[in-house]
Amino acid sequence: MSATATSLGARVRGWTMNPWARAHFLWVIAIAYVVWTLLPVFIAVAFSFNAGKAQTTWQGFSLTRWYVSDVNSLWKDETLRSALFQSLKLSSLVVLIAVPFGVGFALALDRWQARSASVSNFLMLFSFITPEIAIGVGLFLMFTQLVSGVGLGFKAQLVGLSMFEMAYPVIVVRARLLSIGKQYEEAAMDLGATPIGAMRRVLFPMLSPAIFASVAIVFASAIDNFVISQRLSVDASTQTIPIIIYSSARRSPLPSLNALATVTLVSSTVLVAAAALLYRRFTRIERGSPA
Amino acid sequence: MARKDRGSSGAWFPRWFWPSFAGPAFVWLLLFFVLPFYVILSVAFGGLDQIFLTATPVYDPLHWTFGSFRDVATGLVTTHSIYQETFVRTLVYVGIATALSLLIGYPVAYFIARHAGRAKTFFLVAFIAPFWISYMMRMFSWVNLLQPEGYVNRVLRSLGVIQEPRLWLNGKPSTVVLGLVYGYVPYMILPLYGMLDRIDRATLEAARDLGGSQARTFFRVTLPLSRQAILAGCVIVALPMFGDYFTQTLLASTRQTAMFGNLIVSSMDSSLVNQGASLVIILIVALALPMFYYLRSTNAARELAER
Amino acid sequence: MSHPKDRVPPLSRREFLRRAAMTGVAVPSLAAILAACGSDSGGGGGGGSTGPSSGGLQLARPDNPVTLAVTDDNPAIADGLSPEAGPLKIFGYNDYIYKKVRNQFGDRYGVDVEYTVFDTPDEMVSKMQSNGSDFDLLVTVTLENVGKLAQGGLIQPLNKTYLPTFEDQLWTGIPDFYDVGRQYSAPYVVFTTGISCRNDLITDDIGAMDNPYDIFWDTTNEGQVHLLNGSRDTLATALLRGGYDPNEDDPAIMETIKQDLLDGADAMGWKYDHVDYTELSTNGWEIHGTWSGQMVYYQYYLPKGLDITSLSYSWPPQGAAGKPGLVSHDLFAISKGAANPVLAHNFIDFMYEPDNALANYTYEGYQPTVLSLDKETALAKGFLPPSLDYTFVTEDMLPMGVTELELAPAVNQLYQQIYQEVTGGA
Repeated sequence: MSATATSLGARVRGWTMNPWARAHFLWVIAIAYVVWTLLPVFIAVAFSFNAGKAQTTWQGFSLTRWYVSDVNSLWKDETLRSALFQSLKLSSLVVLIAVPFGVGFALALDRWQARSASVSNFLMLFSFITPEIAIGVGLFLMFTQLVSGVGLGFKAQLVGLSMFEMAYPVIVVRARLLSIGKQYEEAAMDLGATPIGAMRRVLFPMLSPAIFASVAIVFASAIDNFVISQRLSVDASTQTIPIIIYSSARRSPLPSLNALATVTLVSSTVLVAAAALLYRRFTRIERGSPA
Repeated sequence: MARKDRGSSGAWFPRWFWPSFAGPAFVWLLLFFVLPFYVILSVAFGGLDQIFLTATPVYDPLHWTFGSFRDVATGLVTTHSIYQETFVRTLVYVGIATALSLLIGYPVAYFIARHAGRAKTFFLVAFIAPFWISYMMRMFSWVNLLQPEGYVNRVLRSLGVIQEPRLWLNGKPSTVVLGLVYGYVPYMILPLYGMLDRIDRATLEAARDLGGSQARTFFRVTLPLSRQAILAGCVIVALPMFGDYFTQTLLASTRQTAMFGNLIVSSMDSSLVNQGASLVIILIVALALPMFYYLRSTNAARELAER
Repeated sequence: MSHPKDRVPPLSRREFLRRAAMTGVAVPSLAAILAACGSDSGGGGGGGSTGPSSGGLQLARPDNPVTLAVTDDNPAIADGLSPEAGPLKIFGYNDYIYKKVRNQFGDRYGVDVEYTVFDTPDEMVSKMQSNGSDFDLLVTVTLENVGKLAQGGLIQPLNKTYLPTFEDQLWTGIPDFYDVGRQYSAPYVVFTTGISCRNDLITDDIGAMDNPYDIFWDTTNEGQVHLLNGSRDTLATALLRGGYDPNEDDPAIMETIKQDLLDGADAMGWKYDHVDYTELSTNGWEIHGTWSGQMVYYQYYLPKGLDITSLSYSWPPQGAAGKPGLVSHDLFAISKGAANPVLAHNFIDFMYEPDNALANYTYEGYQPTVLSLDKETALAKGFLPPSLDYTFVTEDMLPMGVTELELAPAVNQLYQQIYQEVTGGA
């Protein structure tokens, strides 16, 4: 008994006193972190398939109750369905505004030499780190006092959110522009291309990974946005998914809410995965592997 | 004939060419970022409507009145006033939560950057996942787990750690702080990972070759090199956290745990709109110093990188 | 003359105010306003024909009925218009109109019905000020807000030609001093505000206590007590406990009330909400401030193993000590810029039809102010649990209670500030 105990002890001691022992300690931390971060989400997803109404007791498996069949399910409850539709609509339109504006801004900042560039840049960064509640309150007051003809609602949410999300494409695209440098465009123009042509045929293809990344980031961020969308929302038709989750979470929500969250999660994951795959495909040329 | 400018790429562009790319974004920022701040000022320093006692903004700075703002500001410096208590409490929560995020985030970032090996992609995906999983969904999952009959209590009871179900959601500061950490730690890991990933392996090997132990290499080489990233991470985490109100509402929702954002939101949701605007101004002023510091250091860092 | 259906931006109410000769004052700090208000109410509170007022605003009281002005720039809709195409947008408390009944209305008129939720009357007023014209029908305009909304031009006068059933079925015992002639509002449900308790977990007989409201401060139930939310209801708990009027405006008294609430909040760890029924299913409380209608609603939210007889309701005026308690009724109103005012009128009338009123009652538990429903019917049809039959509001109960009514603007703001401080903005 003692022989095995000492050999076990020796092995444990060997494991911990190994010069790379810190790696083991880090492995434990890293795995614990992943579990801590993701397990609650998986449990919430699992409960969307709960056969009963409870959120804390597993009452059996039901694939469709909270997705399609129950009267309060995601499919039948028009509040949930409308929130899903609203979120997708708002996020898509935000992407259509924020990404082009942001990419243009990044290009301008990169190429523009005047001092006013740094003012614009400063403004952009400022919008990025201001607490969202301050921006939300400001937009709320503006749309209810100054331009009350427009008022709160979808249009307000669209312009406010697209402003807030613009910073992401700027940051991503600027980083990419820095690493691309100017030599490719210059080479193209030495070979006879016009400046616009060089931009179209050389720069933008090289920027496309960054643009894809921006689309994914802005979409995921917009669909998750809470503070600004809530401040500017009015009635049930301008409520997005985070707003619904927030207001329902405090009132014994049904698993149909989990179903809504799961559907959002799956669509975001699919989009991000698609963006990542496209990113890899477009950068494969640069990284030198066979196309 | 418009004056042309030799752009940095050597081609001839009209002077307005590149700035025009910035035009739409710049206009957008002016209209929907700068202008709202002016409206906040106009409301905080403006008047009050008679029937509802809500704010009527005054757009001409010459007619601004500061009585309402002065009330809020004096409240802030009066001991035991709700403004001061909430502000101090928010400072404490944000401080602790940022420190904890750093303590948790740094080893994780270090691990992914240096030790993950072939599992690196898996861990990268796991670490990026919270960015596209809705924050509300993550918090909502915790609300269910922390219910008196939820899984956290069940696990703890079966392990014998506690006897009675612990009421996590009844206004415990620890729940709120841990909730904040849970929500924001991915933002801490991001810049840390970025920096640690870039540290050249050769630098570390050189340090080891010169006789440094693992601990020494870490403290004298890795840590100083990541100082900028640590500061960036702390700022990216602390600044938004200061305006956070929904985490507290979901996880506790009591007056003993109320954060500054809760004050702002409850003012805006009732007729205390003047007060809400004043509180927002105070929030920005309080965070102005760290914000400016962060902006200058990122500017400096970028100029360094561009050289 | 512009069609009433045209959306009107909120700015027009300010025009109305200016025309009504409300002088815009360069505003000093709130403290100065309160000081002025305190001296006002001190002078004007006594008897006489003019009741409490505040700078021209008439505050309705039972002995000071107010007839709300109907002006030219806020007329009622014309007679004989046909219903619009919808969707009808209703703004109310959560779950306050049975979904089936809403759907039945939708089927009858071929329109969609959208329902937006607000959490407290204060939130309703805020939303009405910023985006009132987005809504058509308001459910739960409380008595203390109807005057404000009408005088601020946020709701429109009703056209009774669209409300024949209402005129026919309305329970005449309901008072109308806050809107003489019911020009802007139509009662929806009547209820009392009392104390709900899990009698399987609490052994005290709340009804027999000297001061039933003390149960909220009883530290033996720490962590298990919830109060109603909303600045008026939360403060009323402390006001009634102290024997004060729920419309108290003396700043000194309000200061002691604030202190009572702060002490209570710290010692008891109160939560503030009105979703006691959903919390029931997770055993979230043992004592809950509540409205009488919730008690009937509980039947549908009982957790496993709990029977409706385990829940008791206590309305202090019916208790041994006869302490004051709140009784009130909620109102329908139609927003000024409503896109579907005819449909909104139709909905009010729809709710007064005996079948629909009963159907709604079966789910809501709040009794509609209709002649067709009385206690015997509710008991006979099995909707009112026999153990809770005393929660049904009968005509003799109305004079027993007090009501939350409109406060002067500065006093209202004081209440909201106290509420914010007590609840921490929760």
